[in-house]
Amino acid sequence: MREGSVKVRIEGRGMERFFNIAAQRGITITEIETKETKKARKAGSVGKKEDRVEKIHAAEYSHRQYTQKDECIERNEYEKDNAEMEKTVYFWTSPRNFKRLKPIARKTDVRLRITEKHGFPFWLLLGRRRILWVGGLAAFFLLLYLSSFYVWDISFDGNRRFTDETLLHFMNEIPVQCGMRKSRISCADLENRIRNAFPEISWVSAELTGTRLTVHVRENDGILKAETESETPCELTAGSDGTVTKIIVRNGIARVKAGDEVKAGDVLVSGELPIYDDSETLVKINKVHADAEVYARTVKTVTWKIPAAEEIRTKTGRKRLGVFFKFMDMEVCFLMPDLKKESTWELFMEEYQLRLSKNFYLPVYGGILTAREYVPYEKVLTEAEISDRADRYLNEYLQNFTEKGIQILGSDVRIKRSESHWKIHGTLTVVEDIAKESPIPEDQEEIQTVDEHH
Amino acid sequence: MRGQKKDDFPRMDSAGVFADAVGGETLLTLIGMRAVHIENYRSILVYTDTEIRIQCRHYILFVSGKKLKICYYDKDEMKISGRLEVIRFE
Repeated sequence: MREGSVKVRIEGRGMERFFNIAAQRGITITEIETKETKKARKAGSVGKKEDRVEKIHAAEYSHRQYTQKDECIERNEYEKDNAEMEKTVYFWTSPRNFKRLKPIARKTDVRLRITEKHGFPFWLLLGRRRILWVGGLAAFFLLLYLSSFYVWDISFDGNRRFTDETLLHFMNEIPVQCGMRKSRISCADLENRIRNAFPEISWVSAELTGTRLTVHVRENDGILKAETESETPCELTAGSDGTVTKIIVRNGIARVKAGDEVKAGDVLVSGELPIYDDSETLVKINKVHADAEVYARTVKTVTWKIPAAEEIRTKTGRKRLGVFFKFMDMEVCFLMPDLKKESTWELFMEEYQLRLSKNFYLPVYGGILTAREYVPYEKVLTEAEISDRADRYLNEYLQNFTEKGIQILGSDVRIKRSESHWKIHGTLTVVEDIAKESPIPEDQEEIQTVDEHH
Repeated sequence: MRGQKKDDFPRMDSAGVFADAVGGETLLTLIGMRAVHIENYRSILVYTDTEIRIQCRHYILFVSGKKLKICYYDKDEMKISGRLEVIRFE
């Protein structure tokens, strides 16, 4: 009902007359009913009696003494029967009609009292009375509206090589970050900058939906670089000690052959090509970019240190739960207090961001904290465990080599006990390419002699 | 004539409308014992939750029962609901 409706309590003798006149004047009254209410206390009934006495006076005054008295006696009897219950008549009408009823009530000597109000206009009035409540509601919607102008969540999609943190860190410097106005973010500019900063990213698309910035990224498997053969003269030297097993020269002159022992820094392939004339005299030295594959058997040593005892955390099964809220930079967390002071706890935190819809994120975070009690103790590792661990480390290490294409000939592991640690020495015999490009040392004298020779 | 019965009560008057509607007679429609719909009444004389007296053209209609309630009323008609027990003309 748009107009609203009121429930009215009616008291007085001329109730029926009141209803008849209201009907004659075309006022709609519905749901006339009698309700029984329990009398509250004796004191209440005394009050009622006084009220009645007053009424008789009023009746005497109105010169309708006899009828009034009869009525009064009747009512007395009636009230004796229903000493415990009080009967009141209520009806429903609209607020506009209630105003029109007032003169009729005066005329028929009944008293009207509104007991309930329903409908939209009264709801509005109620709002006016609870100004703070309405203010709060308005502030809430205003805040929601204002927060929709900012970015509250940045997410990435399709990045495998770069973590979200790396990209976020980079975007912080642009700066594009959570809490920025949406109008200040230029997606095209952001895309350009990301593409320029990360050559591995071949395609970027930034998208602002709701309060969320989504950056779609596609990465290259490797950077495609045009292979340009370097023309600068150089020679190849040994990167580590070893015994040469195979040598393939593409450019330059080999200084070693298979089976030679080399030391780190020794020249393997020279970049200087001497040119002799017919009389086998040196005419000129051409400097070239030496290019070769020199495989050598080398020995690699690797050492790991493992503490003799390690800390193990055994869960006792006791848990403490807590909650936390974060609004922008303010953080409030509540965790059930610890009863035993000396126990140790592991804390886990699950964070969720509040969002109204799929893309309307808000700067409000909530989460659950779980603390699990544990008892730490030191466990001394046995030799078998150490050797297990050494095997595992070695396997991981070898795996790494195999991925790089290094051939493994043999491995040897020794475990030594020092004071508080176990030391694992691994010796690996591998075949790898030891050639390393290095510039040709300038030998002024030789050049001079060649010039003199000319 | 045999087989033909003459109705004492005239169903229709000369104009072809129902006689009860034009005569200003009170019409009662009972809906079981829960409610009664009254048309062509004059005024309410007494209203309590156990008895209601209604002034009609030639008589007073007395309705008694329990938890009586006037659902709606206007100048000519009203509906009373509740647990009806007696309907009497006085």
